[in-house]
Amino acid sequence: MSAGTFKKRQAFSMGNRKRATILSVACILFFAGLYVAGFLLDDGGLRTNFMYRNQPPSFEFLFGTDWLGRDLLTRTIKGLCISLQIGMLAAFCSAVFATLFGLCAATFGGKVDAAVTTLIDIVMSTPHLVMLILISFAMGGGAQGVVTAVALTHWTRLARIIRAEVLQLKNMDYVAVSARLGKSKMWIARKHIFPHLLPQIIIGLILLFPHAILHSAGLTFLGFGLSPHNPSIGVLLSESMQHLSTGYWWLAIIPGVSLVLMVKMFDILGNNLRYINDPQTSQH
Amino acid sequence: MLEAKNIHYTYPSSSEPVLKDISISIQPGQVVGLYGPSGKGKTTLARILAGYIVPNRGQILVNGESMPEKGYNPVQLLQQHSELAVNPRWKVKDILSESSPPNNKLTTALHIKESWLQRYPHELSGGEIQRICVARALGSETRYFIADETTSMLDAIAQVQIWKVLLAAVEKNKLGILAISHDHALLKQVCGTIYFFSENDGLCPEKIA
Repeated sequence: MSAGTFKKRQAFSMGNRKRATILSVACILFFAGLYVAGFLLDDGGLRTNFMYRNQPPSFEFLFGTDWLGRDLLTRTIKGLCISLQIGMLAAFCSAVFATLFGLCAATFGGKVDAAVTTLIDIVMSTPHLVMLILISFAMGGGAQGVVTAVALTHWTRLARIIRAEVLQLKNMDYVAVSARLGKSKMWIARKHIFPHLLPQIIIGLILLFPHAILHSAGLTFLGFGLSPHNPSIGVLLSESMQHLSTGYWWLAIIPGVSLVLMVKMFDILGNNLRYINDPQTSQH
Repeated sequence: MLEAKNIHYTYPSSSEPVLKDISISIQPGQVVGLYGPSGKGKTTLARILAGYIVPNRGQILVNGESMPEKGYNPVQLLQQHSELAVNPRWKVKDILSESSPPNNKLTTALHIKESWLQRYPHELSGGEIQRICVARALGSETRYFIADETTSMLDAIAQVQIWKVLLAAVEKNKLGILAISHDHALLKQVCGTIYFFSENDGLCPEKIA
């Protein structure tokens, strides 16, 4: 969703800071709850239980059970929790790369800038999924493969944003005025430039989560990601494919919808944080 | 004395020089006016005098010495678009005290209200921000003040209030002012010397009747 349409929608439906704050806090609480639940849940639901094979969703098994009698609710929560961890790690690494490259390009300029811009162009122009599969495969798959693959392919957009932002901020009148008022370069970087950059980095980081989570699920689905022992969402979805034709729809639909919902919530969180953080919109 | 000696400047994107061999000097306690057609380099000269642009040739001297590269610049520039000269993420009280804590007498004279201090720049009008910028630029170490169309976007009352403050600083602290404006009547009112930026001859002093 572009910032423009978001702003328009904000003006009609959520035109106030309070609503945006409540939504953001709700999203954060949900993620925290999911994370804690993933740790607290015992592995009982993951054990095979042939008494209850292929149960559709019911009050006893809210999300149903699979062909080995494992509880799908437990598996989905654990899976989302794993996705969350991998997504956070990958998005964090991406954001660190992006900040380093973006800052270097804008600060040093000249050849460094040309080199970084070319690198960004190269990474952006190569097909995403092919790069992800290649890198993950080269790293031997598993969590490290997924994290490295996502981190190495997703830093480019944020790096571009940060580079452009620093270039623009460097030329702002108030930065020039600050220098004439006797402020040092470090002081200007700290007080004038960084506060503008920090929200960009944080929001960029949060908006990277959905990509990281979806790609880790995608890689796992294709068999280049996490091992089948981990009940990650990608594994759940890939296994469910074998059972779709037999009518066990809940095995694919429920984890799939949960994944999409979680990703959407990250999107909502990112956009609302942007809304709160911009002094132009935050006070409406 | 603030002196510009034989200034030449050509913008990197153009082949024609904007300023050719321009010299001007401003004494402490003197108000010098400058007017002329658009696009002849008035603002460029203002930015060079305040150290925002380095001239291709020629030099700027403040009391006989070259302009300090670090530290507080004794020459402060106030531009027309002051809303670009304030950080949109800063509250007014932070903007006012960027160089030194604001002088209460000054803020009162400029009619800066207490209630503005907790606001962000986008919650103030252009004229209100302009007053904030004047207060910020009139720090105790400011010796020369370049007013580039400073009051042209303001209503008559605000113009008077700001110029009263500036002229008081000229009287009291021997501030030297270069006022750049299209408003010839205003320049006649406040300036001792007025220069006209002419196409061919550069700066020509104008006799005040």
